[in-house]
Amino acid sequence: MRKKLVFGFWVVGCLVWALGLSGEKPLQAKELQIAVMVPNGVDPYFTAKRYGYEKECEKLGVKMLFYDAGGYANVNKQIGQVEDVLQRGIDGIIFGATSTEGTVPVIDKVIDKKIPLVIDNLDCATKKPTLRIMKNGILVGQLRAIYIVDKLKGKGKVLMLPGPSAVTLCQEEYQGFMLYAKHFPGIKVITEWTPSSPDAGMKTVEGILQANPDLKAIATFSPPLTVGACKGVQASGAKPGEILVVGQMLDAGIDDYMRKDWVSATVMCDHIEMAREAVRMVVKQIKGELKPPLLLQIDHYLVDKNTIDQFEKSGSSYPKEWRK
Amino acid sequence: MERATLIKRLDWSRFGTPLAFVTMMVVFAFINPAFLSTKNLSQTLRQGAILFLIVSGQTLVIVTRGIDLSQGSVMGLVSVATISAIYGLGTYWGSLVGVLCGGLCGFVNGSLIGYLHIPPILATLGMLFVALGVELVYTGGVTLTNLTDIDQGRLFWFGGGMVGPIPVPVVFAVIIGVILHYVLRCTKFGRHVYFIGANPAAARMVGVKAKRMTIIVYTLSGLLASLGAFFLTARLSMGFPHLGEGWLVLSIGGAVIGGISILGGEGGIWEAALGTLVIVFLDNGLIVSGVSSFAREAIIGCIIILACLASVIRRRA
Repeated sequence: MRKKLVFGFWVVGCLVWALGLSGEKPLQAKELQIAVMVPNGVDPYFTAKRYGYEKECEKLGVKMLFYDAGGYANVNKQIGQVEDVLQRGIDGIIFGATSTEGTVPVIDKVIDKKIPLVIDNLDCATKKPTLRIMKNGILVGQLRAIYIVDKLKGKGKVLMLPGPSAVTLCQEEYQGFMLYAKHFPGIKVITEWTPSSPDAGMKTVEGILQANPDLKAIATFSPPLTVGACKGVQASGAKPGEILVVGQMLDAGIDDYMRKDWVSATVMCDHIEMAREAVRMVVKQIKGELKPPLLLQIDHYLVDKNTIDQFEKSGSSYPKEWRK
Repeated sequence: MERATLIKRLDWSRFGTPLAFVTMMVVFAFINPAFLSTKNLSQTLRQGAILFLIVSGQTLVIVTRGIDLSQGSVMGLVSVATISAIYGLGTYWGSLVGVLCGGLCGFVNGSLIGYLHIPPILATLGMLFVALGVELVYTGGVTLTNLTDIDQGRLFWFGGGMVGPIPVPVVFAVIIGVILHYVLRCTKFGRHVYFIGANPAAARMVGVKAKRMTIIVYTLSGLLASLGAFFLTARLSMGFPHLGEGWLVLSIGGAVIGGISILGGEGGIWEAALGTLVIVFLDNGLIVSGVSSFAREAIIGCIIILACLASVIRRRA
C-alpha cells in the first residue's frame, strides 16, 4: 500500500513537471529586475514614458525599479542612484542621463560590469559600445525651424527656449533649429537657456517680450516650458496666434492651448512606444538576443490645430485613469 | 571737500541698497527705455510680489537666527495640494487647503526646532526632503492640469488678475507686508522676535517664550511660502511638483541683499521688500538689456556674495 502511494506521488510529480515544461516558459527561473533611471521625472514627457515602461514590464513579467534624479542639475544624485543599483544588483538598466559628460564614469562602470544597458534618449557620452534608443534632436529642431520660417515667410524675430544647457538633447535641438534658420537672414534668433520649468519659461518670455515687442515666434524644449511661454504671451496682451508658440508633445494641457490657438504646433514622437521598445531591448540584451552597439532612432512629426485629432495617439499618450 | 564729507557721513548700511537700486533702475532704463514701461513694471512687480512673500517668511526666520531651507519644496507641495484639493472642494476651499498645507509644514519645522532643539538647518533640510517626497509620491510625478474652465478662471484671477491697474498678487503682498511690518515693529511679539535673534539666552532668562515664538515664526514662514506658491500656481493654472526649484536661493538672497543680517536680530520687512525689488528688477533688467542667461546667473550670484560680505563687515564694525 505504502509503495503504491509513493509511486502515485512520483507519477503526479512527473506529470506536473512535464506540464510545466510544455507550458509557456517564464523569461528565467528568477524574476528579472530592471532599473529605469530618468533625469527629471516630473516632466510630463517622462511621466508618459513611465507608463510605457510599466506596461511593457508588466507584459514581459519583469520587475521595474524606477529612479528619478529630480532634475537635470542633479548629476551627483543620479550617479549615486546608479552606484546604489550596482550595489544591490540588477539584471539591466534603462538610462536617461542628467548630464551627457558627467555620467560617463558611472556608466562605464555599468558596462564594465557587463550589466545590460539601454541609453534612452538622454545620451551619455560613453565611448564603450552600448544600445541606444534616441530621438533625433537635430530633426526635432529642424522641424520647428521649418514650421516657423514657413509661417513667418522667412522674416522675423524668434525666441528659442532650448531648455537646460548641459543636456545634449537640448543642444542638438538648438543646433537643428539653427542649421535650418541660418539660411534665412531675415530670421533673427534670440536664445535663452533656462531650466525646464513653467515659471522659468514665463518669466523669460515676459522679459524678452518687453525688450522685443516685435517678437514673432517662440520655440520651446518641453511641455512645462511651453506652458510657461503661453502664460508669458498671454500676459503681454497678445491675441491667440499672434505670436507663434511651437513646442514639443501634447502633455500638461498643451492640447487645450493648441485648440485655443495659444500653441501653433508641436513636434511629436511616439515616446510611450519608445519606452516600451527600450524595455524590449534591455530584455533581449539580458537574454543574449541583442548585442551592442546598436542605435535605434525614432520618427518625429509635427502636429498643429488642423491635425491634432487626426493622428494615432496610443504611442504618445496614456489613459487618464492611469495615475488616479 | 563738502561732497567728500557728505559721502563719509552717509549711513551706507541704511541707504546703500536703496541707492544701488535707484542707480540700477536708471542704468537699465538708459540701456533700454522699455524697462520702465508700465507693462514691464507691472509684470516685474507681479513676479516680485510672489518672491516678496517668500523672502518675508525667510526674513522672520533669519531674524530669530534660524533658516528655512524647506521653502522651495513646500512651494511644490502647495502647488500640487492646491490643484488636487480644487478638484474635490472647488476653487476657494481647495486653495485654502493648499495654503494650509504649507502652514502645517512650517508648524512641524517650528515644533522640531522649538521643542526638540533640532538645529534649524537640519530640521528644515529634513522637511525639504519630506515635502518633496510627499508631493512626488502623491502625484506620481505627474503635472496636475485639467481644471474646469470655471475653476481655472477663478484661480487665475489670484495670480494673473488685476485690481484696477495693480496686479492682484501685488495688492496681497502690500497688505501682508504692512501687517507684518506693524507686527514686527509695534507689537510685543515683534520685540520678542528680535530679542530671541539678538540674544537667545537673555531672551529666555527674561521670560520670553522662545519655544512658542519659534513655532509661530516657522509657521508664518511656511504660510508665506505657501501664499507665494499659491499665487504662482494660480498664474500657471497647474500643479507642478518642482515649482519651488530655485526659489530658495532667491529667498535667502533677497533677505541678505535687503540688508538682513544672517547672524540674526536685525532687519525687517522693509529690508525684505528692498532685497526682493533688487533681485527681480536686476533679473528683469538684465533680460531686457539682452544679457545672456549664463551671465545673469553669475551676476545675481556675485551680488548675493557682496551683500553677505557687506553684512559681515557691518556687523564687525
